[in-house]
Amino acid sequence: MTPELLESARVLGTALHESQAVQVYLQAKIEVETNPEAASLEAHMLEVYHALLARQQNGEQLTQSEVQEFYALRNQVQYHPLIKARDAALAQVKGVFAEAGTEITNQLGVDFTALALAA
Amino acid sequence: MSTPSTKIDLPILSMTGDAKVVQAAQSLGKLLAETPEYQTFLQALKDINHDLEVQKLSAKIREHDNALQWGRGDVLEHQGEMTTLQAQMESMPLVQTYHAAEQAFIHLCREIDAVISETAGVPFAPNARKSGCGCGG
Repeated sequence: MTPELLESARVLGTALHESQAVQVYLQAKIEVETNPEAASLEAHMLEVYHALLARQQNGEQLTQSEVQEFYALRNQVQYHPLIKARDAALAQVKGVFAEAGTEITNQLGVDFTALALAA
Repeated sequence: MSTPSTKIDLPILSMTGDAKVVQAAQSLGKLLAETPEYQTFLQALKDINHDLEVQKLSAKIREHDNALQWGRGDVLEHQGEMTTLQAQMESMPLVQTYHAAEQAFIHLCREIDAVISETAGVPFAPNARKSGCGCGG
């Protein structure tokens, strides 16, 4: 990568970092991470999710009550005020990022984000 | 008699945060379009799109694919033909050149994405995707 391109990528990264959407999101993320209740609730949900997924991938049939319990836990997480605020802030970030991605793509004529994520 | 002046709402000229983002993204896109990796990729793409042999093979692959989708003929026979035709196409130097150019450009896009993400403090490409799951990171 040329120094000019590197600098240009950094300028975009800085503009994104300084945007209101990213600042609000980063603050909301810290609030979730530093709130013991929200943090442990989310960690617990992820732990349950991965355990259920692993069992399912091993061919095990999950019971209806296990699935219902997981959905209830997921709802609890999604409706926690701090987590809800963080997720709403992330949705705003995605809007700004998508606009930036589209601008790059428009200059190229090929989808930049798809290429950056290509396997 | 003078014409009554029409009041026009002019846009605010000071650059907002998002306008900075748009301008920075446009500049980056322009620079990226000038790189040898992009130019080589673009040329390789044009070359395969204009190659008659590639066009013929692609048309044949599409015929078998359509037949499979509409349930015409023998499934295994169509699948076998498609595999053979695809292998034939992949073995063409022009197609191999295209794949190499594509990989080089993908590598550059990933590097740029990593720099943007690191500076922004949030992963860029997964969150810039129009649909699907992005991680806040």
